[in-house]
Amino acid sequence: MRTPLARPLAVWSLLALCLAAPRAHADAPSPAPAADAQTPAPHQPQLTKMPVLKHFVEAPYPPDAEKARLEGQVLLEIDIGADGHVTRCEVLQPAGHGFDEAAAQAVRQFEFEPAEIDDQPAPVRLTYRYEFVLRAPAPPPPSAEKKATPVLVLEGRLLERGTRVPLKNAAVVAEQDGRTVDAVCDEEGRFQFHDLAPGKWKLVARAPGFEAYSTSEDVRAGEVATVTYYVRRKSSDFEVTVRAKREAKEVARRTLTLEEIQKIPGTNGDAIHVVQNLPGVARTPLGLGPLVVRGGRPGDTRTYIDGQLVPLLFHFGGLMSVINSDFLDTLDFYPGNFPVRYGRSIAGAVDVNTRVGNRERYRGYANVNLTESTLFLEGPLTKHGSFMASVRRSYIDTVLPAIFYFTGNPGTDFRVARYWDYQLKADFDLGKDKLSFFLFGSDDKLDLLLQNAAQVSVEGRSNVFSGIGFHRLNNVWKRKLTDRLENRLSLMFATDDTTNAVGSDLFANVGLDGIALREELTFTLSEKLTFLGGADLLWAHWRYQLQGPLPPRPGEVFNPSLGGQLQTVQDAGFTSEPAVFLDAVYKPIPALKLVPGVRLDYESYLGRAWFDPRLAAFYDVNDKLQVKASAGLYHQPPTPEKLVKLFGNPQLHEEGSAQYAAGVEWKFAERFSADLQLYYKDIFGEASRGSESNGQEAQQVLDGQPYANVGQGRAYGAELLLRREPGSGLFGWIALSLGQAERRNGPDEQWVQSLLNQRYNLVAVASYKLPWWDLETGVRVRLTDGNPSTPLTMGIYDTDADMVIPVPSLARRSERLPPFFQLDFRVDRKWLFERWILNAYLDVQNVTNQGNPEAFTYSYDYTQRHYVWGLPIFPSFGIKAEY
Amino acid sequence: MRALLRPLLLALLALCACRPDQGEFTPVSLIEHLRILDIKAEPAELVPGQTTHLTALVVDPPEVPLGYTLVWVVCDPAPDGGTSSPCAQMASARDAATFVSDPPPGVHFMPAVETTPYVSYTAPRGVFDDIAPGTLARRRGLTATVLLVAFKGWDVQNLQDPQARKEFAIKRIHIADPEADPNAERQQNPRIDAVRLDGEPVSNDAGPLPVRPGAQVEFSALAADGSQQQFQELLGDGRTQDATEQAVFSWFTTGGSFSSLLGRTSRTSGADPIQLQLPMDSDDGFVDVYVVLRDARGGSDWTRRRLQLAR
Repeated sequence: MRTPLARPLAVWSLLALCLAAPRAHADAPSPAPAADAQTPAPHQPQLTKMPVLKHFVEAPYPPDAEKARLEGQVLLEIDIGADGHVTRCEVLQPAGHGFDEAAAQAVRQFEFEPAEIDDQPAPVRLTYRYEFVLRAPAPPPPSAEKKATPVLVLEGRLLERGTRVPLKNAAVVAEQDGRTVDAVCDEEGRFQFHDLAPGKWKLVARAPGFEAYSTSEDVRAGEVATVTYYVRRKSSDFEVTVRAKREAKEVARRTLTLEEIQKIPGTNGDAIHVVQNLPGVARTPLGLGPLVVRGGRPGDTRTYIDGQLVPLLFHFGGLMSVINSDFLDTLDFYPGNFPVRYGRSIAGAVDVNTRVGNRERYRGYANVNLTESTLFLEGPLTKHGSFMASVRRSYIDTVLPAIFYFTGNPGTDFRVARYWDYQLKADFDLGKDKLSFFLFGSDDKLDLLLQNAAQVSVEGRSNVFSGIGFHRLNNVWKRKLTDRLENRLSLMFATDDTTNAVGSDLFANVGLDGIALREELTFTLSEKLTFLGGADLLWAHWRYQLQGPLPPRPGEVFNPSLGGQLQTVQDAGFTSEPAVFLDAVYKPIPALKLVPGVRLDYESYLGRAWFDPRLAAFYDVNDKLQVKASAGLYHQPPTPEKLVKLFGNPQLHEEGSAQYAAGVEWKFAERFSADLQLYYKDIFGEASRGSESNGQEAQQVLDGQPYANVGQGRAYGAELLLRREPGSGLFGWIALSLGQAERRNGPDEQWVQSLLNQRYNLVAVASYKLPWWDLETGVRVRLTDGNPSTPLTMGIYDTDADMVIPVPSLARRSERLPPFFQLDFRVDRKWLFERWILNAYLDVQNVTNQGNPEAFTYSYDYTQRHYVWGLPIFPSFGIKAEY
Repeated sequence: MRALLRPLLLALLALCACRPDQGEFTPVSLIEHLRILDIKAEPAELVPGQTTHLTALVVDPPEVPLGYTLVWVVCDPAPDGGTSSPCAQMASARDAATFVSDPPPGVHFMPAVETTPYVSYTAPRGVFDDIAPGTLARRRGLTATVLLVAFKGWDVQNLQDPQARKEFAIKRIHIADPEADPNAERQQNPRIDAVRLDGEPVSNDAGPLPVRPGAQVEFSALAADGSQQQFQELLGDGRTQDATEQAVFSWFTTGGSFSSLLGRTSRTSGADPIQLQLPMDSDDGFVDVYVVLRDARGGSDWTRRRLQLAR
């Protein structure tokens, strides 16, 4: 006869934890990049200890269910306080028949050893599956003789199918002729059966979140059978994810997780491309180009990896980002009003936070698609460490000839067109000390040979070369000095090289070698007041060598005969960029939080210093509703090409913006939230070339220089993010941006629309893990305002160069392309083999084959024009083998 | 300079995937209306005080026999050696009437009618006086800029008609400092030595060349010996490097269509042949083919061959 039992073992799983970090500076930055000394790197709070169940309360089996011979599983979400007590218990998936009440009542009496974040007890949230099964009564107590000499007859391991992760505390039941025997897996997933009678036994393995595994084994007298079972994870569950929720110090920080990043259609799992689907980010034509945020210019938003500035976001201007997304833990995107740990940027910031490698087992994969291949490996490294390594190489130059076989060669030989990148990271947890070494870099090379150069230019330059590479070694040491004081020191080595050439006489070579040092101290004075203070320093040797014609001045007809107007400039030197910053999190009352901060920067190349005060305030109306506001000053040096002698103006000074934002954040349902923000940005002192609209006056404003700090701008708008956080196989968001951004080159000029000023931009993204066949599907829908465009009204024929030079209308950006609409679809299929996993995906962009004009193309004399159409329906396919 | 990569990639994409249908546009090589195809200065390069004769290759298709007017504007070099010229301002083209009626100092306004499509220009003496000897700017020389406007009709006042179609062309004339390099060989215009039709040299001496309507014929042209001069290219840092002039032929026709790699160019290098798909007919039964030879340093030459569509 079977006895009802609520299984106390192997029934709880951490599917998703949302932790409320106890301290304010959980995301302190790391050291500055080579090109930007102040660059912050956030301290990512680490879950240093999982909660451990120390007092289990068995739920009574509901009598009616027992009578009806019913079994059930109840999925609960429970909050565990910093003291280990259960503070909240909610049924997520009810089972009915009295199971829910029994499970909830029992779980409320559980006691845990609390979880720890950064070695400090912290509240956590987890999901817990309580399973009620009917089982046979325990076998009668063995005789004293048998107890003394148990005979091992069957032993084995229970591993997750595909990943080979041991299933701790899983239950294995052996059954023969109505008699059942239980075994429980240890930490290594091992289980043993003793004293089973010879014959065929039915074995059933169960683990929460996994499908039941059933098989049979022959037990023979005098023999020990050794088996390994690979158990399949239920397809509706996401992988175990432990995520710390950092205390917000910014009005607008949007964080994406790895599982969100990798499954967005149309992005190829690329982190930076995913950011382009968030509020505040303009859609770029053909998906190329850097981030354009809240009316900023492309170079105004900086991207960091672990707080280090990377000089290149994408390979080849937009194909893939320069870091393997599998290194990512989270991605923080600040469309504006970022804290003082970030500086030298007047628009937004993106910080990609890398994760720690797997400390329990080795894992790796090979990923092959039409344009590139990737190898990835991670695993434990010594007793206290782990590593991750990845290398990626493209073979576009190999694929293109095959494409041209069908499309016809446009007259270009691709002698080299490839990119590669690498990442190698080692992390060590030595108790109080945590060390991290991250070596990463990227190299792009494009070498074209024009078969008939005269068709492009009568001067006949036939080769085009571009090479961009950077390498970084970032070393981070973190130590908790006292209960209230934490130190983070980072030292980074950097080298960048860029070479561009057209023909033998036009070239631009730029390089930089530098060291960045960053020191940060987090001091918790009390529960109400926490400080983050720090300093960063970049010391770098830079060099450049340029040869080419000076660019035409505003309103001047471009002279395409370049050979007679070559100018050469070269220079080298040292620069230092020190900065100090301090901010505080002050909570005068529990519902109110104030975050004042100041930052002081110095730029030796400009010989200028600037001071950026910033303030953010948050008020919790209740536990679901928060209102927030922020204001601050932001400065940055002009981009390097504007500071070059002759071609630029070394006398330029810093550019600035004043940013204001207010918003409300509402968690209106479980896993659902809404974030509404209004912003206004005033931009001043932009390095500008002037414009033709004021004709000769532009030259007077520029004082004969190619650039002057005469540019002004303003951007304002509203952003709404409706988000469904990952859980139950589903995540997604709807991002709506409404805004206006304008520029002018002086107080007396007319405002004109900024580049990529899109009055509306709607992006909806959703991904759902289907309950069968290990299928995951995703869709992305985009509806965006057309980009502004300046009409070209006529042309002037340059008889020396046999080329018509366009004359743009004086009404700059006075017309607009039609709206953009695109629907993308993605499906991922996973095949689980016992010891490895095969993933395949099909990503179809523009499923409806919508024709989207991306630009105009003109006839030779600029009297006729047509649209340049965007991507037609474009399927891509890839496979990934993971071991 | 990273920005350099982006346009290259965009161009690559345009070539590979998103290439617009240029076939919908009138090819640059097809002359359908009044066109300026070239401006030649003889001599091609000046020294201060020297005079050059400017000639324009202007083609007016016969179906609209209104004649045309040319307005020549020549701008002296900027006295300080600067590259900016009133003739090379977009505003001058947008509002040509104002520009020629109220020219700034150093701008020479010379209207001409169809029968005299040429003018003369003399480089000012002392144009190098304000530039220090031995400087890179002086070694580089100066540039006089020519802006040519063509429009239908013989009334210069038509220039003020915003609705009237106007053709603009620009040319730059190099003015060398004779003291910078007294032994330097002055730049010469290249010269077209021969034009071949289906491999045979052809000239206009015997009148229009009979061709079959709708047929495909092959043209090629040869530059005369010495057309591609050797010269010292002045680099931006003051060094020089040996260089050779280009010889690029641009082909134009009043009927039919030329083949070319991208289906949009009229140019071909050296003696490379180019195919012309002849029309089935034309208004007057003739097709004019023009070829312009350029050396990429401002020197040029041109010639015409007339074809008669004969069944």
